[in-house]
Amino acid sequence: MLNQPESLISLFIYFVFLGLIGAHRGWKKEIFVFLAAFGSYFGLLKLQSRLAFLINTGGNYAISGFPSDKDGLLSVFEAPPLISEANRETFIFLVWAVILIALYFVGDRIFKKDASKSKSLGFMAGIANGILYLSLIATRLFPIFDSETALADAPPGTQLQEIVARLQLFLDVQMTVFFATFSAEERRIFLMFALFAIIGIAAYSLFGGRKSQAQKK
Amino acid sequence: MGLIETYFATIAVIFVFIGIARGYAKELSTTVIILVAIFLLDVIDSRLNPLLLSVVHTVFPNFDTASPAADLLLCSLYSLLFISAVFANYSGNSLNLGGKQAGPPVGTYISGLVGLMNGYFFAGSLWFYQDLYHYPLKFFGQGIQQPLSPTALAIVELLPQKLTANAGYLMIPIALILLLRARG
Repeated sequence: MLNQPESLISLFIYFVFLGLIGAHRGWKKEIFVFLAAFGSYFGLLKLQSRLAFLINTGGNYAISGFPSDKDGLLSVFEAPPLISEANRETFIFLVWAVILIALYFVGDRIFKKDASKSKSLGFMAGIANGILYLSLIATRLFPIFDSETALADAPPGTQLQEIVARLQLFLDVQMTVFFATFSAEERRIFLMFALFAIIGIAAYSLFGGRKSQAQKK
Repeated sequence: MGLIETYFATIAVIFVFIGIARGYAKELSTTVIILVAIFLLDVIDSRLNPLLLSVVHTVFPNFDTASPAADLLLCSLYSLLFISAVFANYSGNSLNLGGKQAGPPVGTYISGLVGLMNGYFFAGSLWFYQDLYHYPLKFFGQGIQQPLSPTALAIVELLPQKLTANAGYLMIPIALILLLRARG
């Protein structure tokens, strides 16, 4: 399969696309994201057991109602962990994903008006990010598209249909897992929290901080 | 995913695009209108239904108030009222909350999220009326594929009208918006 010219062309398109984004954003922002994302991922891997211990202990301490007596403290350490060995990798990847998104915003704040400096450096830095994403993100997408029938062998014109069908199946499985993990009440609380958070963030962003235009008038 | 989830998820996704195009300053006003519409319809439907059905029964004596036709009538009425309220906000003079929207990319993400939330409220409410009146589109021989998938059955429990024990709680987000508006 490695001798397919289409794979080479696809890889070329992928890197050109990431390179163009890098050229548009500027090399400083791209290098910043690359180094910080790379460093944070390995930092998280290195510190995962300590991080999990802190969250498990702190979380169970809060759930137990901040006990101060000996029995209460013992129950904190005996309680089942919030982040178990089984879901630690998922947790680390989730934290890293949040850091990665935040890095783009932080980079925009730190390196303002950087794009016009050097397009070629930005292009190369974009490709470097492309390699990083290929190793950390693209590999995690393989299970969605991995099946007995290879997508590339599907009849021409049906590949898009096949992709949509597989995405739909993937989302369905994820939804089923989500619904199986949480009780109906927990799901309701989760949804209400999400809705309140969206409304709160949007309203605060509109009216918070400095006086809004409407108030100034 | 079954057919019904795909239908309503598609509607919600369309609202994301509308949200990004309009911006969250306008979309938040739509949220207020949608929540008020949900609240009002929730308050009136239990009181209006017996009256409405008895009026129809008086005009058309052969009309069975417990038939699928009655379900279809009520479902269509509430769906149309709800769609009209939302459409009026989009096409007419929408509520002006004022405020200054954040620039891209943060503003774009917030607009997408608020659009998604409005999509949930809108599509969820239409689904709610379908569910409440036993999916009356089957009256036309079309309808929703029955029985619903386990995912759809779980989503039904999370529809906007079922989210809180009392529709009055839906006024809390509006109060939050107004409080922040007054503070701003």
